[in-house]
Amino acid sequence: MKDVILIFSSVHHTLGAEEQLMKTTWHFLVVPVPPHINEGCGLGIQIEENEVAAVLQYLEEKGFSPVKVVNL
Amino acid sequence: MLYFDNAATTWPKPEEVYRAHDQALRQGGNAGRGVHQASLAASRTLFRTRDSLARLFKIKERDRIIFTQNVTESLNLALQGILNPGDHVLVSSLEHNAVIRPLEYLKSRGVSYSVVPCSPEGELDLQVCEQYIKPKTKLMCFTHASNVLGTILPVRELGRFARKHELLFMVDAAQSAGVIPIDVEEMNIDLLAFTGHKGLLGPPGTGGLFVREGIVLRPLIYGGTGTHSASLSQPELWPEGLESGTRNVPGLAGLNAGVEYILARGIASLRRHELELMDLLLSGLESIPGIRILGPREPEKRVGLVSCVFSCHSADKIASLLDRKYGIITRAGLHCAPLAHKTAGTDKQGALRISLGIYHTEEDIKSLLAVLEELLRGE
Ligand SMILES: Cc1ncc(COP(=O)(O)O)c(C=O)c1O
Repeated sequence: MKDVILIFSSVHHTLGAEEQLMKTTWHFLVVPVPPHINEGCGLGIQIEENEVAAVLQYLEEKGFSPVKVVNL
Repeated sequence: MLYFDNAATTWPKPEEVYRAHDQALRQGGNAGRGVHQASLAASRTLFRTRDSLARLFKIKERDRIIFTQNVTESLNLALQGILNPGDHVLVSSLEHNAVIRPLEYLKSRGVSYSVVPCSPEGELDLQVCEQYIKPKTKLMCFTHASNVLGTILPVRELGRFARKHELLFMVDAAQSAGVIPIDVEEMNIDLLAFTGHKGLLGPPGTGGLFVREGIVLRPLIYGGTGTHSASLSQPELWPEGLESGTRNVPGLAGLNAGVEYILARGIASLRRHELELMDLLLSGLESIPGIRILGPREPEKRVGLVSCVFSCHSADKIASLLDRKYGIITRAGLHCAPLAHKTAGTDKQGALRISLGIYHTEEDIKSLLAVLEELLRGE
């Protein structure tokens, strides 16, 4: 299973997305973003690749869209 | 000790506040710095505190709440961050030096300001306000309640007035946050500056500024944000781009506990208690000869503080006697608000300020009144 990282503009928005995801049953993890990805706040939310579409749609509805989705 | 200086800083705090502060300090972690458990816990503390404040002030955009050390920093951040050469500002004659001194400094940067006079009781007439608007007026900055007279300004009406004249509206909520309901939407407040250690019942070293979406704000402090570290220039990010340097995480954990305490008890019920005590205090003071009370007579028109002057004694002398002989703490002087004292006509002698807290009882007020009576009748 491959993972992807959702990157948000700020720590606050990352934690806002975390708050929303905690209300769901998806598996996710707040992780550091590798420094070569020079974007976002340094924090990201790791999710499973096959759930990306559903998670993104959910977060968009909640007003917490990531600025970037990175494949690991 | 009987503590009547809650307008300077509230004391004691709810137990929950001490516990949250202690726990956060022991837990460690620097918010936004690193992604280990301790750092994440600290970041979540900030997140939760923004959330509770947003609920208290009816703020929709939590990311528009910036944490500062106190309302003085919040006011500086706002005034220095949005005003440009040529801009004009309206303030009331009740403002604290936290507003006036930054504006005096900004005069050297081409900003000007006008003081709208209030009545000696601190009441403001919107028609008078209108006369002070200039073509270059950009911002109205008004205290919600005077820290000297106690008078509550008509913030709702001022907000409507600002909207009508297309001016930005900032409120200094130092004395009102946690004490009277604030709804930034309903009151048309564009910028809300607050301090954590007064009515919000948090520790010193905490405060914040809410800035409505769409308002551009220059940072007051530049530096590390823990984010976008490869970039040498300041990230334009809310809220972190405006929060360079380590935040006071234990303090903000305590502030969160204070705000949650207020939300749980309900601002209306806390206010009812305050009004009952104020009524007792005001009528008691009125019955002692030789005391002149500043500000409006009606408790509903004021927050929980009363300043007074004495016909035969200086306020300093009474405050010092109360402190040394009776263990009663009040505050004499100008209270960092010379304009407000000028408005009341007490800028030469100062006044004695008695300010209430949520834990005061009728007994406390009666004890204070009995001592004042003894002091003033005794001579
Ligand atoms: C109306 C008002 N504005 C500003 C301040 C400054 O508060 P702080 O020292 O927390 O910045 C105070 C309190 O002293 C105040 O009463």
